[in-house]
Amino acid sequence: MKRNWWERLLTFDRLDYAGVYLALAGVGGGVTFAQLGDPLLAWADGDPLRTSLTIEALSDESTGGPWEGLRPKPGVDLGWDGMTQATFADPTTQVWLAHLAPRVLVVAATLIVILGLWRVLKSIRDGRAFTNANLRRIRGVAATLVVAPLLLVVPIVVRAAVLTDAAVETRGTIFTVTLPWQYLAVTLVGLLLAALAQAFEHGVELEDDVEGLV
Amino acid sequence: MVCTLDDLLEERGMTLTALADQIGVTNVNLSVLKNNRAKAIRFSTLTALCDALGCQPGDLFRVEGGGSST
Repeated sequence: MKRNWWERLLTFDRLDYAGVYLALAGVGGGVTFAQLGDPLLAWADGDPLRTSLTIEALSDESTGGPWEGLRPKPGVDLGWDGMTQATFADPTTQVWLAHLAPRVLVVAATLIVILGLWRVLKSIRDGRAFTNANLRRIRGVAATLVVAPLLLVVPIVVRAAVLTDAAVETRGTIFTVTLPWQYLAVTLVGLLLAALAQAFEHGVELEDDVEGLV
Repeated sequence: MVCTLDDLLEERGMTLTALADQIGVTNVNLSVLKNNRAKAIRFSTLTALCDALGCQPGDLFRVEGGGSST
């Protein structure tokens, strides 16, 4: 049966698969480079670390300024562009590691998701969609999307604590951590994938029933 | 459950390929049935087999060894 061009959209012909593979590879490479490329190169070159910190001085209300009253530690410059900008002239290994920790987790979760989706796509292309291996892969991707945003809270808090402690005299100062709303969206996508995995489980059972049917 | 398709074909001097062509089932699927590797059979396949071979469903299968397996 001949299909019109709009009926062929997203029916996953060779071009669609190539596009999705390209997008997955691009996202994997892009996220890895964006999260780890700059900081690792800066660390290797001995460059300063310039980063945003959510620091509030307890005396803010009395002084009126966003970071008035904060005393930077030696080797640290503080600036303001809507958030406190801290520049560490010679960051310690501890500061670099704390700065990198959330990024490493983001990259790891992204690569796990991409690898899982890549394998699922390949099996669908090969006509073997409803298998137990695919079920495990989809559940793995779903679990990663649900759990990673929750786990990410730990290194984010550790990073904020370590960098704040290294940047300013902590007496009378606090740091705050705001989790992006996108985390909720990622968790929601994970839950939807978990529901899809449930549908796949039904598909696996049906496939098993059909196998050997003459 | 043992399929006696082989015996029926021999009695009628038919080949598996000819039967497959006649009833519109692939050779591979018919071979699966003949070699007792089928887990289930469609009513439509069973009816077509009986029509082509001029037999009853009971002539195609017999139960052996307690009948607990296919």
